[in-house]
Amino acid sequence: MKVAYLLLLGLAACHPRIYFYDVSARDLGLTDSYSVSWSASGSIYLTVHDTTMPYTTGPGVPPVVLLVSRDGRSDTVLLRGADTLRLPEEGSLSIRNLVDVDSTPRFRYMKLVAHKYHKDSTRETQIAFFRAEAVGPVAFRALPSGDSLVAEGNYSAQRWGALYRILAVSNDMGSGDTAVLARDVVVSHAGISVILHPGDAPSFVFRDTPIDGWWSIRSQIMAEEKLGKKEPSILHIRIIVKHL
Amino acid sequence: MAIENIKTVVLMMFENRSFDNMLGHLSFEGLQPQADGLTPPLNRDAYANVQGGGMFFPFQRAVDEQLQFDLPHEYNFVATQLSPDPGGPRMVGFVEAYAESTGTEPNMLCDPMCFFGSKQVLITSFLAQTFTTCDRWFCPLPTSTQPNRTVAFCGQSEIYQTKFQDIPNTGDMFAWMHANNIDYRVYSDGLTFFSLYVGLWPTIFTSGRWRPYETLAADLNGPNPPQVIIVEPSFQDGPHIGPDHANDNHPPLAVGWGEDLLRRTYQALSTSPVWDNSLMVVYYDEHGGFYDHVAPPPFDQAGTGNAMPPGTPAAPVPYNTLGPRIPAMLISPWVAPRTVVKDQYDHTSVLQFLAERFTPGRPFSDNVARRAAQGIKSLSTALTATASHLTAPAPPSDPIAFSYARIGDNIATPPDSAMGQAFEGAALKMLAEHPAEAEKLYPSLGLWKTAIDQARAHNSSTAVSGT
Repeated sequence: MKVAYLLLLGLAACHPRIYFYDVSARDLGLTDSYSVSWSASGSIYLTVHDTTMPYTTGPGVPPVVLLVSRDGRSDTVLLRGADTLRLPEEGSLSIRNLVDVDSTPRFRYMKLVAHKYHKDSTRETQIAFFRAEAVGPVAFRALPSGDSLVAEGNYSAQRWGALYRILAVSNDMGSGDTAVLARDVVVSHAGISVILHPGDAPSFVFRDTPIDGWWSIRSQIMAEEKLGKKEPSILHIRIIVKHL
Repeated sequence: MAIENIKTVVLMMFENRSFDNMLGHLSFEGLQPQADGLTPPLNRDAYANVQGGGMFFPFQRAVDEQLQFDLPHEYNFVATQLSPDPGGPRMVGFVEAYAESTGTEPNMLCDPMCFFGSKQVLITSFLAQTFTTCDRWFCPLPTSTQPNRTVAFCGQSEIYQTKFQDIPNTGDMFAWMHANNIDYRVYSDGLTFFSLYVGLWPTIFTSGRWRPYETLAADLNGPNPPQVIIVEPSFQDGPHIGPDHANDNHPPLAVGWGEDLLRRTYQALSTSPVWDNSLMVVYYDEHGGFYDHVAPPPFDQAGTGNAMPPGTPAAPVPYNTLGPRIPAMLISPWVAPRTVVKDQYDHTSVLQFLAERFTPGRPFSDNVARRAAQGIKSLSTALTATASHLTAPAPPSDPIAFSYARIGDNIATPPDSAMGQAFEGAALKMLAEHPAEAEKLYPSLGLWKTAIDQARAHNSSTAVSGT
């Protein structure tokens, strides 16, 4: 009995491990290449599963063909539901969708699984695939500064990557949440500043500038807020981005 | 008076989930619209978290599965999560804390923002819909496991963070119950959490009150059921033997095993003679790093006997609120069925209630009374004068989808987590200083010690030889 226990525990100690797993981007155009690199122990496989974009409803995503390149060799993989690629314990892949740029935006789960002795170790990364023109937020926590709210910080370079640029920006404060007051915001980025009014047409003042880097969004504290209405916790704008 | 109808109190504390994570679906799915959970649309400013210029919103998990990481929930990370400003906590920093602790670029659907649907937490949802849900139950301190559990069972905490340490048990409820002739037992599905309190070891080893979970059902049907029962899950961070699996719901663990334990415990109680005069409290030690949309209210922690994080005069740690909301349910014939109680509770609400019930006119302790003076209510506010559900509804019998549990991973190398180190340190110290008593209470603990010694010796020899 004791031997059996120790054998069981010995097996339990031989668990799979993922030492490193990286997917090169989070937001991509539908035909952009991205790389996956890993180092792990055990039987290694990558599961790839596409779904519709979050917070939207609609039909499921159509199947897509992946072009997977490894060690100078390229294979095509038809991605239907959840497909699995067997992999060595370490290496890297370059992956690209073979689709038209106007195909359905999608959300992809890339899960690396290391399996050994009936145990799994997993790491999962999500990638959002957008059309050539897409919409997203720039948002930072708002802190009071005198009569103003100031929201500023660095926009992560891993989002959108280097392949998208700003096409236009607009003020969407209060547009999707009735609890938030619509308000003017002063936006500064890439050495340019602009005042955005709620309801106005998008501004092209930041056209062709990169999305990552320092942003500042400022807004006056409004009369209702000085009288006790809760100030917004976040200031945000909407950006329309365009694939290079 | 309803409180006198309660003769047996069952306390079942799970680990590390926020109200929205486990019970946010009650309002989202329209199952219990009175509950202050999540409501559609999810992608609105009121729920938004920010990190790296992006916005992150709550989302329903597709399946119950093991997460990639434990989520940050030490006091410094809780400060980031609550993101306080002069107007109070803003609850916008859960993703930021996650990115900081894991060193990863967060996914758009980021684990701290996830919540379960009713089908994924079948038993929790059933009990919440059938009995009373508490949607203003906050963990007592804006910090991690050890301090919050210490307040839960002592009414105060002399520690403010979780690490390998001997936790003072000043004011513990076991001494209080002993002094007041209250019969109690602790049923553990693994090594008891109270092993972390060296001051409790004599009680644990000699009282005969610490028993295996498997004996709970028989004891409930026995001649002298205890007045207070503490049911402990198998802790993910505790030592594990062979095919044992954790069921405390502590991330990265999936919650299926915890749902199974909850169903078995409810079945054991609700089919026993004790049921008619029982109150079962299901609650969580703290939020575990999961998002909750309700900001905890201001609270004077120093004035209620709790140690404060050091901080600096220039950068004091914000420790002046309750902790985030946790999921909590009151299960009894003596609560109003299918209701939501909005009273402000924390873990000392249990201690207040025990004192009201078993030592009327005398509070549990001065610090618990001070918390009550700051607005923490007793659980007695949820009791009714007439009974419902004297025949307890059967829980759903649907099969629970068990996700893989990563138990055993920490055998070959010492545990990484503070709680893992604390459990392992306590187990090793127990075996070193009280081997006979420890192995009598936990017969497999010696085998676990042999196994980790062998696995680590093997691990270090392969590391040296490079094989």
